[in-house]
Amino acid sequence: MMGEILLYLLAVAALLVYAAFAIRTAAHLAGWLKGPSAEKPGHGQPRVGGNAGAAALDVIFLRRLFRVNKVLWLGEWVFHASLILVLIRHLRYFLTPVPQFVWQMQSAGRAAGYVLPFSLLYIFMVKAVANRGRQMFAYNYLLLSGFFIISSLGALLSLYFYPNVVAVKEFMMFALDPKALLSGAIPGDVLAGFHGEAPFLAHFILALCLLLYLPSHIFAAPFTIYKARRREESVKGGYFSTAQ
Amino acid sequence: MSRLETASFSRCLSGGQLLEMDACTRCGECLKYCPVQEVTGDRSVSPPEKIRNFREFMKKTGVLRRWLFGGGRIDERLLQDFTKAVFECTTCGACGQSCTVGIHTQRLWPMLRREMVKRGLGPVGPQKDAPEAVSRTGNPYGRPAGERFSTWLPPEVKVAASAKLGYYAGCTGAYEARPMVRGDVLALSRAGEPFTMLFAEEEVCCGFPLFITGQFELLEGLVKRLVEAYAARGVETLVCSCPCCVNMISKDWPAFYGRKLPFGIRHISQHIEWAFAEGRLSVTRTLDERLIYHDPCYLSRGIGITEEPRKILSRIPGARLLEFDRNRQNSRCCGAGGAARKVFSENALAIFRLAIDEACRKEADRLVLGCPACYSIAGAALEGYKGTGGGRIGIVDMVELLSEVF
Repeated sequence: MMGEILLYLLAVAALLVYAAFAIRTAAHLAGWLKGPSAEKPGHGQPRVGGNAGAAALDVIFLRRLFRVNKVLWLGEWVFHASLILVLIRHLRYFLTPVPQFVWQMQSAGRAAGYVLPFSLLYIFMVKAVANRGRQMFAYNYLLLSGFFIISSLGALLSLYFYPNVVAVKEFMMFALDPKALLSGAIPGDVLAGFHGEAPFLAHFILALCLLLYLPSHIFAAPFTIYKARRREESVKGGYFSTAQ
Repeated sequence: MSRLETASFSRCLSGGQLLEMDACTRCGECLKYCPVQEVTGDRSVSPPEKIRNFREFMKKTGVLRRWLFGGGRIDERLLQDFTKAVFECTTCGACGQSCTVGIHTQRLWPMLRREMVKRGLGPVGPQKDAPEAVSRTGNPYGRPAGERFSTWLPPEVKVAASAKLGYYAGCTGAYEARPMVRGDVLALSRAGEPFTMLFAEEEVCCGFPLFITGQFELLEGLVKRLVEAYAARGVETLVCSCPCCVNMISKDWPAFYGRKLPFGIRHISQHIEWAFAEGRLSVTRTLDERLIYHDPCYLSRGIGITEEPRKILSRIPGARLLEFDRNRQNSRCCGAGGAARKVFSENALAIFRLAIDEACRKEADRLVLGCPACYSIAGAALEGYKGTGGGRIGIVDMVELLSEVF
């Protein structure tokens, strides 16, 4: 009975975290879409140039980081690429029917899941050891540690614990359905599949906590990287070299 | 001990700048390049800390928070510390150049300063006097308008009443880096194309020191006055040697003027290199020296001009051009920018001496500058310089140097 109540509360908490994340993202988006006003001419650029394709490649390959720190770039790029593959793999728990591309990415996502904790460990070593922590902020430690624990648990789930993925999926779908949550109880078939799923629950609860503290840069940075390339291209050779 | 402010801290930022505030990953790469952090060791000055603090202020005064909880309280001490940090910055933009997510900090910091000015917390020290000085004398130094040109404009230089080419000396050049602007007019004169200038009382501040310290109130008036005066003289291309003025004129004047400017703007190095290429100028003397050119922040990172000064210097027979380890868009700040040199002069001198250090290590005979702000502190920086080779190295402006070899 106690387990049933806790699982139900976890589902409610998950929905609340998803909602909070969506509201926070929407609030940030509203700010980003706010236009310039007469008060702020300083960001004005006489012309916007640059190659959009090259700017897009900057985003994909984190070129700006490569330019300033090649050692760190290796870990960061592997981390970001692995994380995307892992997130795509996890979509199977949230979507019904599961899209074809998600099925096709399962093997790559699984492999990426094993790479992910090592990439985080590498980043940590570079930042904390090679740079003697001089560039490290407490927030970075928190994020790195959070991602490391979650991804390590994820890898262990895949290698040793083998959770009941059918039950996990049913639980995830239940937590995404406000109507079902309003019934006040967790369905019996969802509950029946949950036996000894503590590692999964720890993984999931930590992921929810991380979602609350997820940095806004994951959405904002691709746009600023894209804009930066176009801005830099527009001043290459001097703004007004052809004025005369 | 708290300041309750109802207005949101984000009001001075555009959507793009709010995006940039969110984009900071606090990776810390910019810390390696921040000149103020380098000489003070103060982490609160660092770009990620400034962004983190400002984000906190925005959160506490955000619409949702105000609606739900009636506004946040921000510690007065935190606001004061932030104000000091944001005004201590030289706005060199080296952090933005190294930013892994491409935040355009050279344009972001003035907007954060603007917010602090609106709240009555900034600017700091003598920066506060600039609007009054500009209103009274036309320049931020409060020096007599009548002396603007008289001490350096050579009598043999002919200034036309009207011409397609205009020259704007700028306040720092005219009052604090006179050999530099003297070199400019000599070069323009030698190139042979007639050029015009405004009268000393007419040529007022371009607005950059006010803009960079977040004091926008006088800007529209100054800009309209200058644009209309140059237009009345038939100017089609305005030439200026101050990188900060060129930035202000090219990027911000159109916004304050309300439409496209009726003339183009060129940096003096662009004009001189053009004159060399056209055969209007030539170098007659040789110079057996090792020169090292320092890229000014607002010339290189601001408007992308890095090659013309090098081309000009490489035209001098016998001169050997050396490079700083960090050059062009990645150049080191001289410490004099962001209107911080009058308030945080120790920082400015210490930063400049880092450039002298490297120039001496590379055994340069002369450090060549291209910015009047850099030039204005060069003497003081060299005077107290304790490193090896300090007694040997000379500091000169690029166009001033040219006037030696014409």
